[in-house]
Amino acid sequence: MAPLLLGLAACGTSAPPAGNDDSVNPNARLGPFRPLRKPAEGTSAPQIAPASRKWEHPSVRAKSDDPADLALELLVDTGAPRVIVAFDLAGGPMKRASISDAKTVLSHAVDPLAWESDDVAHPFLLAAEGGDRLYYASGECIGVAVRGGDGAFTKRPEPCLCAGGATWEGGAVVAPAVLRVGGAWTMFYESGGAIGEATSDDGLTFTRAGGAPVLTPRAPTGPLADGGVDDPFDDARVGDPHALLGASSEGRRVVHVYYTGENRLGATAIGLASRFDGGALTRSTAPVFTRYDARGPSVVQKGALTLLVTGGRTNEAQATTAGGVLVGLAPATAAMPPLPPEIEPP
Amino acid sequence: MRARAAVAAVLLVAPASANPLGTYGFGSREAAMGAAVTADTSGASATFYNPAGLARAERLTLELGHLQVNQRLLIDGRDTKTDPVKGLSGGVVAPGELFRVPFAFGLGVHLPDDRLSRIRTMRQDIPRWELYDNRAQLLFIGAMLAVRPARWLAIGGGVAFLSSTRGDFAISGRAQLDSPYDSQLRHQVDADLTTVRVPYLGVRVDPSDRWSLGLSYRGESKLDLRLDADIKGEAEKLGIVAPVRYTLGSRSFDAFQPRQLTLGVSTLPHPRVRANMDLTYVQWSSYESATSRSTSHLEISGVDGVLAVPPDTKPTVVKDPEFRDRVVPRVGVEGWVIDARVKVAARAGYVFERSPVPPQTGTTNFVDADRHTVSLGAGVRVPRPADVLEGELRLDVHAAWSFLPERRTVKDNPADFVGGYRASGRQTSYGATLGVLF
Repeated sequence: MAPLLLGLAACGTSAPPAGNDDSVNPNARLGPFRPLRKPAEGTSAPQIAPASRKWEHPSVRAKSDDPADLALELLVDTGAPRVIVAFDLAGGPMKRASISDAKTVLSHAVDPLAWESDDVAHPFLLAAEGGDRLYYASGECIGVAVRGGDGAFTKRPEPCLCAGGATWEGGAVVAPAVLRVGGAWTMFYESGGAIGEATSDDGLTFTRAGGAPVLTPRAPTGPLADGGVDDPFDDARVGDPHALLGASSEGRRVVHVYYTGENRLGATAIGLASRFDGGALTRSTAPVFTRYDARGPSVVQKGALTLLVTGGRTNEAQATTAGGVLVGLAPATAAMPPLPPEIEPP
Repeated sequence: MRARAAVAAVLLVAPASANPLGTYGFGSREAAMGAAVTADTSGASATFYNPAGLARAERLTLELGHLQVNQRLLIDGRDTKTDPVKGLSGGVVAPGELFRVPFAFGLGVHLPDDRLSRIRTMRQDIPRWELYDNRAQLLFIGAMLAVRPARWLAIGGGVAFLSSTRGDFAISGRAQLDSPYDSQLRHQVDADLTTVRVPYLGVRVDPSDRWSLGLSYRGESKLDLRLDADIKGEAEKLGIVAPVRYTLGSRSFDAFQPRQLTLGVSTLPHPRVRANMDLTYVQWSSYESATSRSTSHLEISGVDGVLAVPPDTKPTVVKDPEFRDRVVPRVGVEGWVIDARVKVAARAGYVFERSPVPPQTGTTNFVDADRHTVSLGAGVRVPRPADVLEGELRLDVHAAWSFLPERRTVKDNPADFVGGYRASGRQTSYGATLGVLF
């Protein structure tokens, strides 16, 4: 009896740490995103582009297919008139880019086209056979430039899509986001505070798909007099689409569209709407990034991580807005790789 | 901060009690027979399975045992490292006679090794093994009484005890943001552990020496956790003093145990063989998940245009988990392979538990799967051991294997943050119980 009692008592002498490893939980890597932490995840986290100028509408592209290589190419529009500049983030998003790194890659002044205005903005960079394609908005149209062997972009003379083709559109078409699925090209764009869709066989000339937008602002849920706190985050405008191709757990192809949602108070956040092949876009249950008054999403997936690059305030606590480019990470429970020694913070 | 930590600590170690025993068994003999013992239990385990069985006790009985359950519960093939369940189980049964009516008092206890209870409330969209995550990390205390007004009839009942937690804390004063050590803050904590009693009832009928019928009822129980915080005062930074008030409210339920009604039958098809069967109706449809309902509000005056005060978090909208009631069949068999002065029994059992959790196609992620459990065990009865005891010494051992076949979850919304997943698992439990009849 005594040995048994001693043995039983021994079983209860110490308590190991509680179990449950929530980090192994499934995650579709679509969001929600958290901003990178400073200094552990970047010398200027979450900002990767300085705010001394107003950088807007970022577009990022991974520079390699290696999941461990976080090197990015970042394009934004800036200045007056607007031009498109590129940053080479060879070390990934953990180090603030230098203004001296910015290189103008597209403007109206160089090789001006008749349909363009002075402003060249809303870049969207897409890897494609025959050279990367840079879609952009100017005037009332969306155009495309193709990267040559020297790294320079050459504009195609004809626009891809222009305003006036659908009754729901409110003026110019802007903010292109292009996907290539098989042999077909799909473009999402913004017009009149809603998002429309167009398709193409060559990615150069697009035709509107259907006569209605694919995503519109949600209906407000109450009077604005209550401060709009119970309103949807996107009841005034949806725009700045960024499209991403994915697959569901059962292997069905899914198109994800990240977008800027703006409410009636002018606050912005990043939302997500997705669809299976042939279906309609369905919103996620919550926005994917609500901080820093974020707008203009661009998303890149690297291994088990998804990076959201977006414009927004550089100081979240200050009501004054300065336009910088910042980075979010999903899954929010994931950690960024250790900082490379050369950018180890002091 | 210390006050908050103290309240958090109180919440995390609140001495709650419920019955992990329904999942893994109470007593090695009962666990070896698939817990199909509603019509065939008489020791301390009767406090859990059927209090009427206590009236069958003829001697003062002490029982002490240990249960160990290792869980390997997978989501997408990865081990979620769900806590093992282990603890001491036992109790005492004291029979007697009142006005020539046999009666017995029973006290049953399951004391977890590692922690008396563990509370994990989380958002309903975070995947968790809802039935096995931490519902079993609880203390069980049951006090029961049984009478046997007729030779063929026994009636029993009693209560199991739970404790819910209510807490308030308040902080007031001035916080110096530039020099925290110069802050002057006053803390006040008020926490209550209130008792919740859960009724247990049972009836046993013995129409003949070879047949027994049992009916038992267990009430529904859950832990109600409530925490309210009120922080008010002034914050000073760079000479600017701003009145600040922050209120936080959190309420959640945990360790839900459904109402259950069990009908059991036990028979002796052979003098050395006993066969049992139980059918348990489990009312999972009233399940309340351990989702925290929280609200918060921050007020900072006089900083308009300078600081961006975050908006209130929207109150949590807890979805009805829509669990389904189920009927759980249990079978058990016991054979006395050696029936001499020292008796040796071999036992086996099987349980099938269909998952009460509906397909998780929406935003909730209550992970579960059907569960098959096969159990084996053995027991030894030694009457008058070394002539020290007039009664009997009993030693029972058991092992059980639960298999949770893969269940796939597919989401309706392609923008779901979690996406689809596969869930499966295995559980291995074993234990021993030593009983002394005086």
